[in-house]
Amino acid sequence: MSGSALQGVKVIDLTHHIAGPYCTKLLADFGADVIKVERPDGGDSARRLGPFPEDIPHPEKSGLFLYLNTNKRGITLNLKDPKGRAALLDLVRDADILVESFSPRVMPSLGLDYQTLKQINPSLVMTSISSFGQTGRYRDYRATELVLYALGGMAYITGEYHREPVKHGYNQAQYLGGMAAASGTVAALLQRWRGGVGHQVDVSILECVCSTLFSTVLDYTYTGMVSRRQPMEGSSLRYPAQTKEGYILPTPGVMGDWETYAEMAAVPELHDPKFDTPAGRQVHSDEVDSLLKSKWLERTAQEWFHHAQEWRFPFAPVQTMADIAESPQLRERGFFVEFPHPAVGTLKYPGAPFQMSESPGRNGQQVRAAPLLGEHNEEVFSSLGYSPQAVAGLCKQNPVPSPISGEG
Amino acid sequence: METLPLSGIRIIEPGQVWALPYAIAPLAMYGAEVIKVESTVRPDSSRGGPQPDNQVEGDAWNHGGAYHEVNRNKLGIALNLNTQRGKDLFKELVSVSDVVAQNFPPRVMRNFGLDYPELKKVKPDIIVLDSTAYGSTGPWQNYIGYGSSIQAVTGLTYLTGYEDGGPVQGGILYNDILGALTATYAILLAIAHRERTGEGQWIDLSQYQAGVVQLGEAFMDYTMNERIPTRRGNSHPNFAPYGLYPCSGDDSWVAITITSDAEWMNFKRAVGEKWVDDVDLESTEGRLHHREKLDASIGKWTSSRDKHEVMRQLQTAGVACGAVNNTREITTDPHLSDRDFFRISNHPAPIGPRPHAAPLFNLMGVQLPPDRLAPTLGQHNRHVLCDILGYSKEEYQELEEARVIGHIPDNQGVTPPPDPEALLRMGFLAEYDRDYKKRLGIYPGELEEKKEQ
Repeated sequence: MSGSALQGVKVIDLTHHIAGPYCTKLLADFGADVIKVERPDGGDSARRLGPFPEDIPHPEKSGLFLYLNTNKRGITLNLKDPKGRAALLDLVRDADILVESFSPRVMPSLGLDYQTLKQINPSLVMTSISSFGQTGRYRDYRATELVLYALGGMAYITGEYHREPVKHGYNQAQYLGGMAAASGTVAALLQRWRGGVGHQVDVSILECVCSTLFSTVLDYTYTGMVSRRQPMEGSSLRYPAQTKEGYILPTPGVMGDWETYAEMAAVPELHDPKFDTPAGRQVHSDEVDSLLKSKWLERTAQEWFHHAQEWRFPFAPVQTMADIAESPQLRERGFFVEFPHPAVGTLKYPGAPFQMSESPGRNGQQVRAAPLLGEHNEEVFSSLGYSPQAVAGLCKQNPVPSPISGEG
Repeated sequence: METLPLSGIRIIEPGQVWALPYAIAPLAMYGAEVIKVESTVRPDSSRGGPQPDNQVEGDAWNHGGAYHEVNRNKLGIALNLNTQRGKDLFKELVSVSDVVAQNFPPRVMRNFGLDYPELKKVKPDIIVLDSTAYGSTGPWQNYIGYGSSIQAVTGLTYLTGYEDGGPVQGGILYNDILGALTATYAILLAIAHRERTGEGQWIDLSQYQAGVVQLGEAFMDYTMNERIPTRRGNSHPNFAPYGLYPCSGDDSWVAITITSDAEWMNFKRAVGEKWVDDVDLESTEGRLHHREKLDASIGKWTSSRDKHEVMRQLQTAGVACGAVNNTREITTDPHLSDRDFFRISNHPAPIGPRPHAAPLFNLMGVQLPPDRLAPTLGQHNRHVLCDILGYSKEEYQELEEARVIGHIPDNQGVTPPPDPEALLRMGFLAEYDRDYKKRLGIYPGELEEKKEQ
């Protein structure tokens, strides 16, 4: 084992909110040295978004911010100030990667476009994450999570037939963008390591949302069929069903046959030739639904889950965050990480999406909590040879956080 | 031309359905030599659909749209892993490769004797990715799950839905694609690790974990406050207005979201009606307080307007706004078209030209070669065995006769195509567009016209 995958890789992180910080979290959690640059007057906008302990807003206590910024060091710089900009250029000089998530016109307006940065550091990889991408007619449009779910087509197919479309819970689009950007960043880094030059990586969150539609798009481009929110009738096996405790997704999957399904559920009335085919079950869906509906109420979701899995049916419990926190599978795999933070104390956080046998990253024991605003100013700038006075002048903090504004 | 970032990397993909092949697709586009390993006994089940124009013709198992979406730029061999010689051939391939990526349940490769410990003996620096529903260890390791099941266990289903309703499944393939995007990153990381240290490794990817990590802030709410977060429809806890509003036309909606006071002023100017003048609405607190009244007024304002017109008007004024698009609107969207997101590949008949999505990360300045079509079943048997592994023509023929390799699936049936008219009647489709090829610019005649211009 020779350290984690990205050990020794230096990243300058100009991102804020969710997509960009998630990208740099993925880099930092697997070993990169990430320096997060925040504005002195309040820092990353995610610091003002909840959840907060006891719902009391505090810039060092945002659960969103604390989760997304593990393993990074944090400094403050005003990029609109010439001194701040010059300090950033000093940092860029020996960095491998710069990640930013501003609206595409911002970096050029700060005199920090890729061409300028490349003159200082020709091998720099610059990853730009934005809602619509660096090109195209909507480039400068504004977006939020809901707008991206609308334009990206995911909203239209989600929800109940007779009601308005609904988006996935929380901020899936932003996370997808962060994940795609992390891949693009490492691909560009490999390009450079393997004899190429640095490149700018362009990631559009909208395109990430579109991509999750997958076969629904192909239904149109191969056959002309346009999908929508589905009617519930006759398809209850595809929807969460209420059990004695919690919901279960009672899907028969593709492997199991109906006879076995009926036997597994222990509903003898379902052993009827009229239910044997999917078409038959569709026609008699009311009967199927009412027979099963009362059956599901006999056990809890977790009980049905294990029972059906023994029969090789891919049932799944509709889990809450409490179920997940207590999940024996996640616990045994060492998924969760616990570490102290000066403002919120020791808390349990989700760990990594995958385990690497030789690149454990900085998960497990070695997690560094998210940085306090400007926590590493002195450490980072003194390593660049700045005097304490210069550091103090550069990183002056505004003690009053600015009010909540702007999601993206 | 600059070489591509992954040129010289060889990836063996005994993957199935979408999740794993989707993960490898961008790596193939960026230069990796990907050898997709299927078998004539059980070809990739994604080969079936959707069939072009819902017509099943000839070797239909080579025509499925989903198969072509994720398998372009790959080589394909059909190898029977149930035979000892098939297993030996697989190991020979591994000995000259860099990555093996697969998504069978954990016991399958173990039973074949082709799991990481075995493959490492053949190639010490091999990278092996196992993508499973729940992970390759732990009490649930042998449990099965598809995209929809994974969505339920990760907490996403519970958190999706209306404020007054039960949990909702959103996009049944969503977690398959998320698992795939995660696998792409894991493989790139492992390649970087090997580039730096010379070491290979085993990646144990759990789609369950891949889903939970995207709900970090919901988990933090539980961990900080012992509170179980639940559904809140399209609304946002910090901002209002934030929702979908009805527009003119059937099932037509627009998203309007205002996340700063400055944006509210932009909205106010754009609407220019009396109801937006209320000073109470000039602060986020005020707007949150009057959320319901505000939603009703905005809904009334949008209901007589076209969703794309509302979007244009509000975006021009500086308000985050977007039409709720369906798949026809997405695949013909002018912005995505400006970015060449859907690129036309010229498949031979009966598929013909079809748009396929570009990679989600664009290395600007790196020129991607034109897409190569997805392989027909066993298309590159000879190339892989003779040119890469050095088998003679005679040895190759013998393997073919022994049915260790092949071209024709044992089961040639594909899922019967759906009846679009019936689906439309039953409410499963928004529309059945017979002019879709014209709209997508993939009518053979139209393509020629374009070429002439």
